Amino acid sequence: MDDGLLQDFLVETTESIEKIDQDLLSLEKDPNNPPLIDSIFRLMHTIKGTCGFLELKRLASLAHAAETLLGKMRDGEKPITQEPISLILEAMDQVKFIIAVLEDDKTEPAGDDKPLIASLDAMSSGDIGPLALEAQTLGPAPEPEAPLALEKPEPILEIPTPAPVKAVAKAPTPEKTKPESKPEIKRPAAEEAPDDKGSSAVDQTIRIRVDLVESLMNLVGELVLTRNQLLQLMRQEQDNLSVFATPLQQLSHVTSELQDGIVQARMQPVGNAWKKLPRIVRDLSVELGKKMDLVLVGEETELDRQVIEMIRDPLIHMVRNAADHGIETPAERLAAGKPEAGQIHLQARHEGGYIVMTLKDDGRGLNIEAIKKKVLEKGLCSPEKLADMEDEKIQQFIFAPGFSTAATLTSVSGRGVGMDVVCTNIERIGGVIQMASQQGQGSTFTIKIPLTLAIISAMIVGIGGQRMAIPQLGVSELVRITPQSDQKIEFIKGAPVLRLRNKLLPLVDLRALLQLESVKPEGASPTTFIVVARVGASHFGMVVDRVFDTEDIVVKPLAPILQNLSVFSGNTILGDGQVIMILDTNGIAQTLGDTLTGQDAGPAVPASKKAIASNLEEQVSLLVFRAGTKTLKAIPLAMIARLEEIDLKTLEYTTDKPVLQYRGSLIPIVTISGDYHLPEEGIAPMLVFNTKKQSVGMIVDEIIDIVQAPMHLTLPSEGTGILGTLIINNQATDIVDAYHHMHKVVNTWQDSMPVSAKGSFSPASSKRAQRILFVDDSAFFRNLLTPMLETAGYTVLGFEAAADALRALKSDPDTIDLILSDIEMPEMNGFAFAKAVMEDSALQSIPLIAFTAHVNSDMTIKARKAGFRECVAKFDREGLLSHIAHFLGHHSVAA
Amino acid sequence: MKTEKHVLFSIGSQMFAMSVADVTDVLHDPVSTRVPLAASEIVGVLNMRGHIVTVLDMRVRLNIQDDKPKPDIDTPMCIVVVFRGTRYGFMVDYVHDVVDFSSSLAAPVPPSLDPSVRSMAIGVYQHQKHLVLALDITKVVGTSETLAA
Repeated sequence: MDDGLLQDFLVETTESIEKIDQDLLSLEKDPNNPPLIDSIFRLMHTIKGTCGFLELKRLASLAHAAETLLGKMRDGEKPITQEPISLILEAMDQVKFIIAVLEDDKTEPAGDDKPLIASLDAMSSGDIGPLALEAQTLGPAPEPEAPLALEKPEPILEIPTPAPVKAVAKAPTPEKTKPESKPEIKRPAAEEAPDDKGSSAVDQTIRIRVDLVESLMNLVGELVLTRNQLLQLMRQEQDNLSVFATPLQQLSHVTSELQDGIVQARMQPVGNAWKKLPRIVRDLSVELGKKMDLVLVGEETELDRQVIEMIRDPLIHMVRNAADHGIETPAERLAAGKPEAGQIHLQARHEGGYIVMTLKDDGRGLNIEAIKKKVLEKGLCSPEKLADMEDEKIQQFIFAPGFSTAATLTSVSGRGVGMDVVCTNIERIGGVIQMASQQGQGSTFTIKIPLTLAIISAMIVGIGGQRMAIPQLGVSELVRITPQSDQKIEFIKGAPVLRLRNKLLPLVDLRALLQLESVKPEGASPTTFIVVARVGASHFGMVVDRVFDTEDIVVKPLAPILQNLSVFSGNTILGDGQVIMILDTNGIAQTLGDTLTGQDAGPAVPASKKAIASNLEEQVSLLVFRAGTKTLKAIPLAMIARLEEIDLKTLEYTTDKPVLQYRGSLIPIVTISGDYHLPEEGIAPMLVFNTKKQSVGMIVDEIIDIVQAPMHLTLPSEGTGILGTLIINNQATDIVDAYHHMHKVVNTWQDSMPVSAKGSFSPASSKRAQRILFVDDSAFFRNLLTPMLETAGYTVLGFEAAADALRALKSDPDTIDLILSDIEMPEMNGFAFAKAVMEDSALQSIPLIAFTAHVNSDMTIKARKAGFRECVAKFDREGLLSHIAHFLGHHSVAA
Repeated sequence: MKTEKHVLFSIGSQMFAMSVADVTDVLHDPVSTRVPLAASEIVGVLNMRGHIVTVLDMRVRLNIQDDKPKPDIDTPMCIVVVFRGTRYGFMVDYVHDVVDFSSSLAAPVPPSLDPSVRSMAIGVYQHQKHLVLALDITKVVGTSETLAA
């Protein structure tokens, strides 16, 4: 057989089959669409015709049987339902299989498709049973005539019934009109296809070999580099070379356009990677007995074909996962109050130089408990760590190698290639994958990938005298650290960290990691930069000396002998001709190991297992230190503004009290126990607390660690200055009441209070102290805030449960001036409590302040709706006092 | 009689040869960018006409320790080859000439040679009273690649 002809046939038929596949699925959803079934019929007819011409008997027989059934459906003799469509899809699969063999062997595989053809024929004739022979004689014989009537009706009539296929197959041969007849058949198909632009587009496109485009792309890459080098030279020697300025500019323009053009030429709609998805979802819904719809948005979004190739399989895997694990059975969905049919929503859009794809399902979401169990089973994490971990972090374990949540292996997913492979594949092309899931509500995966792999935008940084590139994709922000700036690199157990917006960011000192000169080059500015990068749900910072510029760089792969270096993802040539290394943020993150995955969950030992189980929310980061006595002490990290190291020689004394010049002002210094004498010299760590007007420094002996621990105090406080005792890492640790100590030294403590609060603090006030009712299930906060509020001059009535507080309120409504309530509480939460208060006419005038760990706009709106006047973050002492003062000021006037 | 062109080079007092078939360039004292954390034999990466060349130090690769370069050779040279689509450069002390060697004249590699070097050598030739150790590029780079992998 003529190879060229066969090749043409393969290309054309593969396209037709894909189109048929898609159209069939559309037809299934929209059966009353005559143009659509016409289009399918014609495509099938063309395949059959061409197969006949090329004497591909197996294909021709299959296509014929399928066409017959389609004809019946088109003429309304057979209802368009799932069954015949499934059968035709099955036939198309078989056609695909044969074509695949044909492509390799240039000949059809041995064997035949009798059972399938028999079912098709049976379906055509109306019998579902395997009455193949009978069906064939009755059904297909007259059928094909309708579509073929125009071409060649006669041969079929002459041929005895069992062999209609042959007749059709041979029909076009004697005419030898293939070149002409092909477009004739094709054109109407294209016109009547749902996409009307199809036929005109055909004339405007040519096929180009992929390797040709690739080599053009490489050449353009070289051209861009050469252009950059020329521009660099130009800048260096402006005067001497000025005659070249204009032509060089021209060259530069043309090069940029050429680069855009060639990048464009490699672009394909992302829909190409999605083609198989509708079919997969449909098959899965049948196989799994689930109802689901796949919604595709932004199919036309274009990206580099190389990238499309790389994401095709990960996407298929993720959609399978969503269908298999995510979407529930119809019964489960109805029981959960969801629509019977699950929805899988895949969207693509451009965002900067990237394409962002979101895959969302409204299924059951990830089961945290199941993940935990699996994590422990596989030994991916220690039980202690896991117990302290946030749900969001736990979810990330699905990306861990060797993890798969499927309880049993189904044919659909759970074949051992899990999300880790997906994650690896996406990261390999410089992409980022993120996941958010809520149990019962579904999961959302977000993939951000560069439009093209060849040219990326990168930040050029200087580390120990060497320049390197960091791909922009992973970079979320850049922090500049100068000796004057608030932010400083601090060390916890020798590991560098940066306090960034109240979170500790683990740092990697790239100079140390890359074993470059450990000292900054002479004359370098004292400024350092921290490039904050995101890996999964975690962030970390890379310490670099300088940041030069951002540049579009052409990524060149590393030589094989360098590919063992996981901290580099490639190398590139800069405008000045120098080769620099491209850092791999994922590889660098791995060097942090546990520090990153357990970022906010130190090796805390729970005070009691029960406390943890009952209230995971109550985890608080504590700074553990030693001061004065041997007992370990701790203060909630969130209360500490900064950690400093001071030279004790710089301490000064005013009226025997230690003070320190700190950032241009004098701050009082406290120690934990009064009789503890500060050493005369040496370096000591200092915790800095901020009140509204003044900072207070607390000098301690040694900072031990930062840990996460539940706030349930095992031993309530007896003495002053201590809130209670916790067991942290098997050691009794006193939780220090920082306010108490601050109070000791800030002799004008009231000055740091809001003005109106100060008024009420005055002992001369003849009015009774204003009474605040305070509901919080956490003993820690009650212990922490009660003394503080009392210091500010209020009388505090604390309640552990909202129901008790409500009872007390109702029995004696006039005694309370303000209510302060936690939101997250067992049984009756803050919202319910506020509603109940508002419903009682005797109570509704009492101002309500919500007091919660997580303040955001959503929470504020919800709180307002419930009746709270204000929403204050826990630990925001200043805010709380000022709000209380505000409300009580007004309240007393009104009263 | 089958002859093949070889490029002759020396490191210290020892002469080596490799087939010119894969050699594209010889550079004088090229400037390369160091690759942090890379094996000691890797000098760095450099840009040669828009191609990135990964440069190996043959002195380290061939485990020649005490033999310092001759004082009169102050600019080391780099032989650039293409191996499986990747460009590698070999830093040597001096590149002498290109000569024809007939494979039939090759003497077997002496078994007393350092085993790691022996695995890279094909044979020993004589050239103007010097003994020349012929190296197999595939082995020189291939072994490094397997080491790295």
